[in-house]
Amino acid sequence: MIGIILVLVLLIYVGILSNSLNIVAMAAILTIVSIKYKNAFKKAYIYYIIALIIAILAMIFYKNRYFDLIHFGLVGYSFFLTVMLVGVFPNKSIISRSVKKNRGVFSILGFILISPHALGHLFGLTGDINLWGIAAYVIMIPLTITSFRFIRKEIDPKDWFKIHKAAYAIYLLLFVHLLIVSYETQDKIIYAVLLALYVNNKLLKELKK
Amino acid sequence: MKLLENVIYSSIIFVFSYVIISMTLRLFNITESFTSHMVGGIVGTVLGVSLFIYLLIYKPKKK
Repeated sequence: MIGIILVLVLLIYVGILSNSLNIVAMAAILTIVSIKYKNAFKKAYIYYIIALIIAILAMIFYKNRYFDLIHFGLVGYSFFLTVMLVGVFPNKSIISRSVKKNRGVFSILGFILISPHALGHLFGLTGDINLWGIAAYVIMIPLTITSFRFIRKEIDPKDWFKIHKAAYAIYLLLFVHLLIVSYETQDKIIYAVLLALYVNNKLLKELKK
Repeated sequence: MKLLENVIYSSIIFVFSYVIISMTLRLFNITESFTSHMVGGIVGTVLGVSLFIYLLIYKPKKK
C-alpha cells in the first residue's frame, strides 16, 4: 500500500495528471492512509494547525507554483471527494469503516485547504468569481463549525444530523462548479462520471434501506 | 427553538445585512459595485453564521 501511495505522490508531484485525475489520486491517497493507519488522524488538531499554516502560506505566496494544487482547490476538493464517495460503499466494508471514522477531520481539513482557493477568487487574486463555488463555500462554513467536537457536543444530535444533510447540497454545487470552470473536456467527462456514479450508487443504497 | 426557525432567523440577518451594507456602500459611492457586494456578502455571512451557531448552542434557562 505504501508503494501505491508513493507512486500516486510521484504522479502528482511530476504534474503529468490533469486536474480531475489529481483530485482522484489525492482522494485515493487519503483513503489508503485511512485504511492502513487507522489511528493516524486521532490527534486531529495537529493536522488542523498544519493545514492552517499551509493555507496561510498559500494565501501569502499565491503566485508560487508549489501552491498551485491548493490554489486550484484540488487538495481541498480531494478531501470532500473522499468523504463523499465513502457514503456509497456498503457500511460494513473496510473502506467505509476506516474512512467514516475520520469523516469529520477530513471535512474540516478540506474546508481549511479549500479556503485559499475560495478567498483568492473572492478577492480577485487568482481569478474571477463563480457563484456556484461561492454558494458551496458559504454553506460549508456552518457545517465546518458544527463539525468540531466541542461545538457538536452542545447541539442536539437530531439537529446536527439534519444540518449535515446540507452536505449533499454542497456536493452538488461543487460538481456543477467543477463542470462549469474546468477547461479540458476530459476533466468534464471525469467529473460527470464521478457525479453519475455517486448519484446512482447513493440512490441504490438509500432505496435498499 | 426549532432548527427551521434558526435557519430562517439567520437567513434574514444575512439578507438584511447584505442588502443594507452593499446598498450603503454604493449609495454613497464609497466602493465599486463588485467590492460592495463582496463586503456585504462577507459581513452578511459572518453575522448569519454566528447567529445560527449561537441559536443552535443557546439553551434557555429553565425557571
